[in-house]
Amino acid sequence: MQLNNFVFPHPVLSKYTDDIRGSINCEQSIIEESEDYSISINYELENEELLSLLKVGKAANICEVQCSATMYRRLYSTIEDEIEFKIPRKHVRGRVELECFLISNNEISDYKVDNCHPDYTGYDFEIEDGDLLAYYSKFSFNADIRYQKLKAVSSFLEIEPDDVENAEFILEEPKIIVKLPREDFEKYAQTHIGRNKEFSPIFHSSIVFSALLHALHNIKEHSERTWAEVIRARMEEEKLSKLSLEDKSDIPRIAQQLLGKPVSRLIEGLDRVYSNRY
Amino acid sequence: MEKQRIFRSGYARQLKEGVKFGVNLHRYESENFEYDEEQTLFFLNIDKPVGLLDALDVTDDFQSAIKIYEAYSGLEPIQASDIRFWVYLTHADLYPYVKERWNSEISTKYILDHWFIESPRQGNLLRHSLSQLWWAVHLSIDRERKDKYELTKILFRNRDFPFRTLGTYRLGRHKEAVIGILEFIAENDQLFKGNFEDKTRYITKYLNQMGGVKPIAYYERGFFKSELAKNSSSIESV
Repeated sequence: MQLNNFVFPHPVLSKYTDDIRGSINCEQSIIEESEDYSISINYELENEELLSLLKVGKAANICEVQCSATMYRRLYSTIEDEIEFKIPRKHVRGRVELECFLISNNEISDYKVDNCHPDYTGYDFEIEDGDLLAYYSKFSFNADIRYQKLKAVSSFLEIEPDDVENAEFILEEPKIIVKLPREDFEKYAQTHIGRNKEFSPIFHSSIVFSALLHALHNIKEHSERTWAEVIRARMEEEKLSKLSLEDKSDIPRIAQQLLGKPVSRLIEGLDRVYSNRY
Repeated sequence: MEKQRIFRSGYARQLKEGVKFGVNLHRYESENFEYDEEQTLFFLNIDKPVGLLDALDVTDDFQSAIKIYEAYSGLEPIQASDIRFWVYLTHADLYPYVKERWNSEISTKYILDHWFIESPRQGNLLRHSLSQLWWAVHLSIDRERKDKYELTKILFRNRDFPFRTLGTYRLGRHKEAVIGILEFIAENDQLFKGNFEDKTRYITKYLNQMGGVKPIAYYERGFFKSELAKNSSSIESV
């Protein structure tokens, strides 16, 4: 819903309108389980009339869940101030959007709210079953992202062979794709090269770092890609939260934080290789 | 029983890029599409249906849709939105059907629209030549009816309804809304006798706009039928 673009025929409590005075918020948690996503929502509402409607069962706190990729659309409802429900993993892919409201679950004639905007003062309203009374918020998560494995490079980047002359970086896919010339990839794929832990700082500081810089400079054009969502999720981390993807001068620092200081690790890694050999 | 195969994502991507850069277009003129079988994977828990290609009818999208849906009735939604699966079917198992059904002049856009899916989103899944058929049935099937495809048949009265309006709107994600709309059309056949496309565009647009201010998923089919009934005279005048 685009609440800031619409004026309801009755007062609605939300952060986007000044129809009704009162605070409104919701806290949510999303836990990834083996078969489901477990969602918990805590509804926080400060308005006496609306709380009394909830108490007598004439209103309900709801959460509407949608997923475009699987055409999933469900509604979960409670007359309490918290709700828990599960979304089966096999029913969703990609972005899952959740929106929380307080709605009337009955017809209410002569609906009146104190502490409302002067435009509504002195009037009674006819409320229909399902009408919006308050809007909490909207939030989302990406079902393609394994949140507990966000720090792994594999959560947002893959290397694969192709008929190219030079390495290329593809951003139009769910993950950033680094295409290597076939001959180079065959060498990279050898256990003593690509799977050699001693060399991972070298790959991170060269191939991955270059690809990530390119991706970060172009993230705006690819904001719906899973790799972009992974990066945005990582931006919530303490060391990244003060940096901005909008500020080009922050991008080198962001890339280095995302990869855990690849340049420093490169130098350390080379030092270790030298020490082990000589 | 043979397991269903799908393309590796990298290979599906290569095929798409070959079309985008005009390198592969000539391959879509062939009777059979040659692909690298080593670039395929098994599709988890899905068996390859027997005889599906022969059962499809290029002149009847409704019947073909049912055949595809029943052949792959075991798909979970997450599997039915897997691009690799649908791109594989259009290039391998069901290539002859797709080629005959979509036989306009070969162009980059034409091939990309009918053989590939840009990303797993509602609009894209309802544009692809095969996934659109499966999803249209999935959205409209009513297992409580004697004929579970009775309402699907109405949805397939023209291509606009499932693939450009109702199927692509957020409204189409809510099963009760889809059933309610299709039941209303079934019960008011006379009202939809003429200008079916314009009238169905009108009613889906009207109800979809309602979703901007009401939580559509709250309502059951009776609500949608009653809203349309209230607007009968407006529908008639379209």
